[in-house]
Amino acid sequence: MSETPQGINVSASQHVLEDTLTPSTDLVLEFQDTFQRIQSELAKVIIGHEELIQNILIAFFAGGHVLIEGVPGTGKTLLVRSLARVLNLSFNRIQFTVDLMPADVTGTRMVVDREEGRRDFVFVEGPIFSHVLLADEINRSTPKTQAALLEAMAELQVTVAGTTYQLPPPFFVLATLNPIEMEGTYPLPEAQLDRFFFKVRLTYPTHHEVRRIISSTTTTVEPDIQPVFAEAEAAEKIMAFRHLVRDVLVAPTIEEYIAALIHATLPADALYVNQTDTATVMLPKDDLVSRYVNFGSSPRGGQTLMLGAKVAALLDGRVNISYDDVDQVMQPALNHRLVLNFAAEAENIDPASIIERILQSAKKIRR
Amino acid sequence: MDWPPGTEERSALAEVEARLRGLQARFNLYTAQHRLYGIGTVFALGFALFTFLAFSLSSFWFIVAAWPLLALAGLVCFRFLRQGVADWTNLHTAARRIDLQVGLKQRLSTLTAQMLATPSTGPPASRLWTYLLHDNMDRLSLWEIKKVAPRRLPWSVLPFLAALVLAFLAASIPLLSPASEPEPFSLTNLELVSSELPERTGQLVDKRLAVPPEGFAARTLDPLPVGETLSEQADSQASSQDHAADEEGLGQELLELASLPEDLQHALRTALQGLQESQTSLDEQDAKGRRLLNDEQAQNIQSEQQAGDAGQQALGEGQAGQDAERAGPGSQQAPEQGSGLQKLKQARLDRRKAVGAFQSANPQLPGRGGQAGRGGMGAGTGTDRHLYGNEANLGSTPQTFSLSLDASFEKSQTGYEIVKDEGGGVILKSTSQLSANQALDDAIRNAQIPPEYEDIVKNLFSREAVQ
Repeated sequence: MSETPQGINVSASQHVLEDTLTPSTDLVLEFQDTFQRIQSELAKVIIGHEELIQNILIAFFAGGHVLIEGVPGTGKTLLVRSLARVLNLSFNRIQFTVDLMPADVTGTRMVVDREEGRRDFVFVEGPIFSHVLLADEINRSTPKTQAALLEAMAELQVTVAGTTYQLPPPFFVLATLNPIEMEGTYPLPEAQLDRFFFKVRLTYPTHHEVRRIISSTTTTVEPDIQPVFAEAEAAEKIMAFRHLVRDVLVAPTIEEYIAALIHATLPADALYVNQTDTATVMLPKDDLVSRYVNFGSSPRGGQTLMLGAKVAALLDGRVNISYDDVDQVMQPALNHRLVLNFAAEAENIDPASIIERILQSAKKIRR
Repeated sequence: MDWPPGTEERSALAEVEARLRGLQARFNLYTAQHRLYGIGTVFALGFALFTFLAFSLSSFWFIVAAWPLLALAGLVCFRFLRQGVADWTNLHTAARRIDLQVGLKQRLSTLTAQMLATPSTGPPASRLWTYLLHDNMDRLSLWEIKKVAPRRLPWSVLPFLAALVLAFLAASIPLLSPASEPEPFSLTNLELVSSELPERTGQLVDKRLAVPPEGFAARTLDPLPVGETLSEQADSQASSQDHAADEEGLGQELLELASLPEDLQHALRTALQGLQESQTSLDEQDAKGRRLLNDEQAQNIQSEQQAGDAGQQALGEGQAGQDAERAGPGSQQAPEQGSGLQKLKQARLDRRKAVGAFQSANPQLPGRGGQAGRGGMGAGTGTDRHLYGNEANLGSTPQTFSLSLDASFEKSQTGYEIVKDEGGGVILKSTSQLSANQALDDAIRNAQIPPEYEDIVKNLFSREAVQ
């Protein structure tokens, strides 16, 4: 036995094993390093919100999209634009309004006069054809326009006039919601909310953070953001990282744990719930869930938990998921998937408190 | 990574698996111990409870309580066994336990799942499989068997030991209970003794007089034989005392009664009042009886001399050596034995006629603690109602008489003085005083003697007077 730099004794067979490690180890280390560099670069322009940035990056590397809820003027647009710059990806922004049409998002076919006098229909790509898209105040557009965007988010393609166009990978949508000025808005249906990987809240910065914001953004000095990828290899690298995330290993007990968490969000008397479920790992039905939840999380919520936990595990230097990884991503992954009833709204019960209750009871089934 | 894995990966996997199996065995051993101690606790507690119930409940209620308790104990044992089977640790469970115990963040359970799920010829589940193996090998020193599952007894051994102690105490109830030790002064015992005393006293006296040991009877009843020296008499008395020691058990019972406090003795006397009522009438007959005793004594002395002569003649006619030595004194005593024992036999015969053919010749002695002693065939469970002859004559008939003993039978050998009564007869008076422990001998002294023993007693006392 010998001593490693980490102070852990290793056996002779381990020394041999170290030499046989494949490049996957390097990829894991590179992922950790890239993630930290992105966070550092974003921290140059975004004061505070470290947890928010981490959740956005987790969703990004997991291949999901993020819905940001926050009041105006808290740096949502700046955050998305900075992220695109750091990743060295193409960036577009759509300001959703009531009169915004789907074609304004996806693009449309236009008649183009050729030099030889011919006229052809040419597809003009909409702003959705970018790597990073900011859908600002998505709830201000009509459901038809929202659906056009959400279809592209789910299928990574758009169909215009019978022709399907693939979106360039990686495709990442950051939509924002304005919780105030709700008049004249079209709240997203639950089915469309479900397509967002995470929903995060951009809260007001703290007193100290506000001081830093106003002092750093009101001078002539622009923050120098350095991209972490070269432009030519950015998309490829990001897709490699996304593939790495999906390679993270999961123990059967973790799968059972995630399934139990998803099942715990369902009210006991909810419609479409299989009452004869005889799973071995089940959480007791929480009274809070039964009283205030109309609809719980879909299995897509479980997929979100799994993928988000995988990214969290990689960030921790592991290639396997632990219970803590799942717990870490549960709030942003599930809080927009719980549909509460009127009683919850009347009693000011939010999904976060219900999820917190489920997490507390979930510690009992860890084994 | 390449598949199948190389030698290094295989050896690393084997190392992890070997340690995991070692811990699995240790976990299962602990589980088995835990469940066995649990079952042992149930058995020990059940034994203690059953023992306690056996001593505290009647047989009916014990049976009523026993079956539900047996069923409950069986149910608990079954549950322990089922729980033990459910807790049986496989490799997955062992890995999960180690993960939680050491804080490996599910590294080991994930590796175990991959290890057991991936067939040896199939592709790996993930290209990160080697990384996970490396990660686990880095932390192999954190979950050594001695650290994770050191050899120790499960906590369930404590309730098991406590249950064992409880069972031992329950089994010792008969030894530790105050009821197991004789307590002569308890109210229950005293009431029992006082209720049985008249009956027992009569039986004791009857035994003494009706069934004397052979040698003892000859020695004590006979006067000093002709030609016997004082030293020879001392030897004879020594052998008689050996027989007396055999009788000590009976005397001890009387001594125990005599050791009671005075107020209790008074209560006993009151209980015996029925016997004392006839005391005065019997005293008058006592003097008459003594005179008759003296007359018969004189006749016996003459018959003894005649028997001695006849014995000398028989010796001279051809009995040889040692037989002659024994026959000599025997023949000298022959007239006396012939007189006394013949009457004793006659008295036994009369008694058999009175009680029937199946009545034992020896009266039954009651046992200690109020339990009936075992009697012979036809003895019945109580004292012979006809022990003193016709029951109708007891206490009122002049045919009975009362012995006025001043000392116990053994004490009579220590010192007597012979005084002559008004009728010219000889009265034997003991010079020994009763000890305090013999105070209860009042009951014996005042006991009524059946009329068929009257002649024997008279004969006895007339001989003692001559001596």
